[in-house]
Amino acid sequence: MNESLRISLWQHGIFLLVLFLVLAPLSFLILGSFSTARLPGDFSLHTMGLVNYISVYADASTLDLFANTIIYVGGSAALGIVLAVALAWLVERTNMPGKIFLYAGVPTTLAMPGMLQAMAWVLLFSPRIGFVNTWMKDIFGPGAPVIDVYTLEGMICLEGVRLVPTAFLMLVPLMRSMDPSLEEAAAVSGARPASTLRKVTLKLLAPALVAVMIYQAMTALEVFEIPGILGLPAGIYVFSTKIYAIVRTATFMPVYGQANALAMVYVLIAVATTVLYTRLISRAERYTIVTGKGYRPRQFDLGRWRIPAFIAALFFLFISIVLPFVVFLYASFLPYLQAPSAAAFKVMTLKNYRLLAEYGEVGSALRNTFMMVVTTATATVALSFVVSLVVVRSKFWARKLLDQLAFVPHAIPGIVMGIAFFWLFLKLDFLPLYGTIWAISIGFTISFLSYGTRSMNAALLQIHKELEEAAYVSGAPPWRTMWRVFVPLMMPTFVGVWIWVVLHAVRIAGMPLILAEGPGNQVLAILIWNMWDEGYVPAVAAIGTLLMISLLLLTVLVRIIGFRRHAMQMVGG
Amino acid sequence: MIRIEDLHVRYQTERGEVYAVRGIDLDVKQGQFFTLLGPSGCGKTTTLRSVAGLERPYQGEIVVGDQLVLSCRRNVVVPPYKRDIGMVFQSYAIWPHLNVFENVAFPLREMKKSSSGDIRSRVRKALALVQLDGLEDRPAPFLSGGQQQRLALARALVKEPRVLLLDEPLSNLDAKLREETRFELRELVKRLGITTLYVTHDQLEALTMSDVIAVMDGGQIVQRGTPHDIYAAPKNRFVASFIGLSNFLEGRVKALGAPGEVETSSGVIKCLLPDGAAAGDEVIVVIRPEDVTLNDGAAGANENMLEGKIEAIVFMGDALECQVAVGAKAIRLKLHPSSAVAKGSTVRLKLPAASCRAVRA
Repeated sequence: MNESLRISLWQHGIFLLVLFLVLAPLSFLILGSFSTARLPGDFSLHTMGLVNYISVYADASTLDLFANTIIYVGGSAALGIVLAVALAWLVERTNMPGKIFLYAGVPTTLAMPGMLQAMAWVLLFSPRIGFVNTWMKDIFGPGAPVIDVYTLEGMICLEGVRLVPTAFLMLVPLMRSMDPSLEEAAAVSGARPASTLRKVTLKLLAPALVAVMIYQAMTALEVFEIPGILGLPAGIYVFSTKIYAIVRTATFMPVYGQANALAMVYVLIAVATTVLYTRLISRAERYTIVTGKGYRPRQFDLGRWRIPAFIAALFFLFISIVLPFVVFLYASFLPYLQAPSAAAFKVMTLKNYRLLAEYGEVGSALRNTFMMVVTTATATVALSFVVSLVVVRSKFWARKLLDQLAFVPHAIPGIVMGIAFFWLFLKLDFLPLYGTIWAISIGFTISFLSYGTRSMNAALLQIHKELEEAAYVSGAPPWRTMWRVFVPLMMPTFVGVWIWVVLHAVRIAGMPLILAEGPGNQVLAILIWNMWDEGYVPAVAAIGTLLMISLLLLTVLVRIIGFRRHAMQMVGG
Repeated sequence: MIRIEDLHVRYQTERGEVYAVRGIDLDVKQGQFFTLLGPSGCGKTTTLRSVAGLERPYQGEIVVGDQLVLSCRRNVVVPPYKRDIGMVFQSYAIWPHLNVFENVAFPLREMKKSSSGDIRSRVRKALALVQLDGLEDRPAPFLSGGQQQRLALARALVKEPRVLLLDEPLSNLDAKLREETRFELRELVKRLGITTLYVTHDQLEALTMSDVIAVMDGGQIVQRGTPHDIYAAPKNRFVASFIGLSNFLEGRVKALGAPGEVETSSGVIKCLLPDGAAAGDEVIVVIRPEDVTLNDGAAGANENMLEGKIEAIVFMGDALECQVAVGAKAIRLKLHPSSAVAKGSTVRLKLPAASCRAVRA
C-alpha cells in the first residue's frame, strides 16, 4: 500500500478515536439532561423533556447552591493565590534562608491526596471528635470555643492551602525571568521601592496573576473530595457534591436526569472560564516580561524578618504534609479513636495494619487499583503521544481541531465526566463495560488526555524537526524514526506523565464513586471513602498512612526524573 | 546526476498560500559542486529539501542518479528514506541520545545489509575522513560546534550516497572556523568525487567553493554560471547587488556598438550593452568599485573619464573606500590605503568600458 495513504489512514483513525472518546460521553450527558425515563438504560428519544431542568432550577435551594459555590470557589482561589504569591516572592526575590526546602517541599505537597488531608482536618477540628477541640474542652472546660471544620470556612481554608503548589510552580518562573531593568528604570525615574513594587512589579505580573487565579478557580470548582468530606456531613452543598448527592439518592428515586441538568451549568461555567483563560493567557503573552534570558534579579533584603519569614514558610509545609501525615500515623495505631494523651499512647497497637492484610476487600481493592492505575497511565501515555505526534509533527488537515478536542476534557470536572460515562456505558450495553474497572480506566484516560497531550506537545516541540528529518534521509521509514528517534528522546516525558497519572488516578474519588458498582470495580479511593463513611477511622488511617508514604516516594521519583529531563533538554537538539 | 525539471512548491500558511519555488530547472553533473545562492526566502532551501524528499512539490520532476524520485505528472513520490542521498542539516541534527559512533552507524543499521563488523569498519572510515577518529564513544552533545558539523558530514557520507545535500552547513560556525571549513569541505567532496548540491546565502562561500552557482530570487533561478562569470557579468541589478558591491548608473541607450554608449545623469558612459539592446532602452550601468581608478590623464578610446568631488573617505584597513559625487550620483571606489586623497578635493575617475556593463532596468 502507498506510504502516504497508510499514514493518512492512521491519522484519521486517531482523530476519529479521540472524537468518539470525547464527544460520545458529552452527547450522552446532554441528552441525559432531557431524559424523562426512569433509568439511563431506558433512555430513548421519545422520552425527552425539560422536566429535569424545571425541577432543578425552580428549586429554592439551588440559589443557596450557587451562593455556596461562589463563596467557596472565590474564597479558596483568593487564599491560594495570596499564599502562593507570598511563597514565590520569598524564594525568588528575597534573601530568605533555606529556600531549597521550599523548592523541594512545595511541589511535594501535590502528592498529598485531598481526601486524606480533609480527613486529617476532621480528626483535628471536628466539633465532636476533633483532637484540638477535645484538648480545648479539657483545658478551658465545656464552654470552650469550638472550631468547626464542617463549614464553608473550613472548605475554603483547606482548598486554599491545596491550591498553593500549582500556583507556586506557575509563579516561580515568572518572577525569576522578570527583567530587573524594568524595575531599575522605575527606580532611576525616582520611584521609591514601595511604589516600584506597586506601580511596576505588580502591574507587570497582573495579567499572569489573573490567569493563574482563574486556573485556580476552575480547579476549586472541579474538586469533589474536599467539599465531599467537609461539606456533605453538614449538608453544605456546592456543585460537585450536589451532583453526587442527586446521583446517590437516585438509587431510590429515579432522578438521574436532574444530575445531568445541573451538570450542564457546570459545563457552561467550565467552558466559559476556559475561553476567558485562553484569552487572558494570550494577552499575558503580550507583556513580554519573560524574555528567556537568565536574569538574576536583585534580592529584597528582609533584614531581621529573614528568620520569621522562613518559619512562616516552613509552617505552610508543616500544615500541608507533616500534620496530615502525623495525624494519620497516630490514628492508625489506635484501637479506637481518641485524642492524643498518655493513655492513648499506652494502648497503641498494630491491629489495624494486621486487619488490612486479612480484610478481603482491601486485597481486591488493591488489585483493582493496581490494574486500573497501570492501564490508565499506559493508555494515557500512548494515546497522548500519538495524538501529539499528529498535532505537532504532521500536516493532517484537522490537527488543530484534534488538539482542541484533546483539551476539552480538562474543562469537565471528574464527577460530571463520571455521569457522562455512566450514561454512555449503560446505554451502549453491547460493550460489557459498566461496573468494571475498565470503565473507570477509560474515564480517567480521557480526563488526563489534556494533561498528557500538553506535556507531549511541549516535549515534542523541544525536539528539533531536523532530528526527525535526519532519520528519514538516513534511510529510516516513519515507524523506525518514531522508534529510534522519538521514543528514546521522549522517554523522560513518558515516565513523567506515567507517574503523574498514577499519582492522580490512585486518589481521585469523584469519578470512581459515580461509576462504582460493588466490589467488582472497587478501587482504593472508594474503599477509603466508604470505610470513612461507615466510621472505621483507625483502619482508614492505616490505609491512608501507607498510601501517603507510597505517593510521597513516587513524587520524589518524579522530581529525580524531572531533573534528568531538564539536563537532557539542555544538551539536546 | 541531479536533474530538476519545472519544479513548483507551495506552502499553506496562516496567511494563505505561499509560492516558495516557481518553476526551477537545473542539471547537476557527476562530481560537480553546485551551489544555490540567494537571500532568505528565495526558495533555495525548499529546492534542496525537495531533492531530499522532505517537501512535497505540486509540479515537476526530479531525478537523482538514475532514479526518478519525483514526478507529479506520473504520480511518483519516492520517500526520503528510499533515496540515495546524504544530507547535512543547518542545525546538524545530531541525535543527542546516541554517541558519536551510533550517530554515524544509524544509516548503516537502517540498510540492514551490513554485518556488525562491516558497520564498525565503515563508521571508522567515515569518522577518519572528517578527523573525528578516536571520539567514537563520546556522547554527541559533548562535541563542539565544529565537531558536530563534521559528525553530521560523516553521517551523511557513511553509506556512500551518490548525492550529498548540504543546507547552509557552515552558518552556525564562528567566522574563523567557517573560513577554514570552507576549503576543507570542498577539498573533501572533490577528493571523494561526490556530486554536491549546496545551499547558502553567503556569497563568499558560493564564490570560493562552487563549480557552478545558481543565483535564486523569488522562487526562481535568476542567473547560473561559474563563480567568475557571475561576479564579472551579473545579468541584472539583483545579482550585481547581491554578489559583491556595485555602482549603479541608470540611463538610456544612446548608441549601439562595442562598446555602446549610455546616456546617464553623470554623463555619457561607454559600456557593454545587453544582447538585443536598442537605442532608447532603459538600462542600468553596473561598475564594480575595484574597477574604478583615479587618473589625471586623458581618456583612452575605450575608457570613460568622470569628474567629481570626494564626499566621504572611509578607512577599511586594507583599502580606502571613497565616495565621489558625479553629477547627481555618488560613485564608490576602492583605493590603496596609502593613496593621498582629501575630502572635498576634485578628482577624475577612470572607468574602463570593458568593466562597465549595462543590464536591463
